[in-house]
Amino acid sequence: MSEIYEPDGQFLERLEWQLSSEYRRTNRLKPSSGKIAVPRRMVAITCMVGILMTGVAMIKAAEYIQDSWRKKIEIARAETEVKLKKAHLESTREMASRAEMRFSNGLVREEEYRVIQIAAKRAELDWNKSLLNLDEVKASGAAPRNELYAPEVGGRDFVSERLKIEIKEIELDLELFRSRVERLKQLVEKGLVQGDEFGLIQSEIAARKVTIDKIQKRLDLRKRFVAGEITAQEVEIKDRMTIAERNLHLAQSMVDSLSEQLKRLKTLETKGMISPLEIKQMQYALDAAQAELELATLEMDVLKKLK
Amino acid sequence: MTEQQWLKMYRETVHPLYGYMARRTRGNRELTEDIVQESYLRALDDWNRKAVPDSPLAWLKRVARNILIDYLRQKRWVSKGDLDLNPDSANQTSEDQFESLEIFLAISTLGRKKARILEAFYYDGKSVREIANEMAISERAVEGQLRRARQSLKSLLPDSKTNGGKNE
Repeated sequence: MSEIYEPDGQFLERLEWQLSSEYRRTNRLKPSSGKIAVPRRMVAITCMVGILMTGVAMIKAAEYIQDSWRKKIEIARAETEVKLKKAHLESTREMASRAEMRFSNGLVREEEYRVIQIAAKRAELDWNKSLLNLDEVKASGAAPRNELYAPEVGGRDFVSERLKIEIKEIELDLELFRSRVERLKQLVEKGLVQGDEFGLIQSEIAARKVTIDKIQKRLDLRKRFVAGEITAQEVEIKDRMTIAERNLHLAQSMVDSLSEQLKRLKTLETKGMISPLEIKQMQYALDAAQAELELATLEMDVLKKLK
Repeated sequence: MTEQQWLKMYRETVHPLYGYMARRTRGNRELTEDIVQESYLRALDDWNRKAVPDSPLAWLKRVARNILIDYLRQKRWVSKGDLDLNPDSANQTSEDQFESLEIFLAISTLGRKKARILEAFYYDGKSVREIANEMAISERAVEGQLRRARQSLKSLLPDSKTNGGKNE
């Protein structure tokens, strides 16, 4: 088979990265598991605005296709993204202001009100990120690049700017978890729930902090690369090392938490309170987590040798 | 569909999908890359809303083929200078590539059965026997259908454009 029918390695790598981030973006935009009742009319209006915006952008994209279509399509795609994010931001803000009113009238709980407020802040960050992407596409004429070793575009460091937004997004998660902890404390004091529910939230908070720490490290690496202190290859290895460290940390905390839960379940089983099947399921989850831990350890070893 | 499953599916399908599309664009790298990229983005959107199809590769090939046809249809009323041709990648002139893409577009306007048999023979480089096995018909029937499909194609194009050999 001639090599013209084979994809080029750089293309494959870049496409895989793009598909991976697109997957994460799409899944982040998915609604949470029905905790907030959004009025149907609001959903319908948001959808209509979205469809209209997409239509306008598609017409624009069709016009652009006449000449140097690759660059124009990238720009049209980024502009569509900005319009959709803007529409989403406006509808979320409206929901937040309604929620504020309903909260002050005692119609919704504080937690629900906070969730909507944070959703509005997150929508604003998403919009900012789409504006950033549009600026980069306009300046480079190609899809935004997120590798730590990507060059600056038009004197701007888009990679670092995006990483800073990612930190803000995670800080929003932390804000939400902290408010949940406060609420749980009240419930525990009233004897409505057991104290061990704190464990789950605390581990979520710890995981987010680890992620922020990882992004900070990536920001530092990026800064050193832009300053010319390290090469692209060094950046890549160090970046992989940061990710591997995080994976190792997460896998270790997962193993610890599951081991603890398994111990508790075994106690309950001796008292006949749960079935052996639940023990088996937990054992399976623990085995899987241990396998992940072994893999993460192996990855770290390999990277350390490369270093 | 988890992220790992999504990326695993990508790694398993990207080479055959790329080859499938590159043979139809006669090795036009930029056009092939754009179409492959767009196909996966559509897949992510569609599969997230519905479900992963039984044969992801077949789904991707169908979508990629439709994207190429849409693209060529949009370009058919403009001159070949507006097509994003990349002759160096296939050791062909722009003229060759323009004609190849024109032929592909003409094939796509034939009936589904004729288009399928011509594409399998000329673009995918399959033998008459392989096509016969896939379509569960005799080799003789395949030859007959190929002949009729070629005649239909000839009636759509000037003679010079249908005289090429297999795309290998």
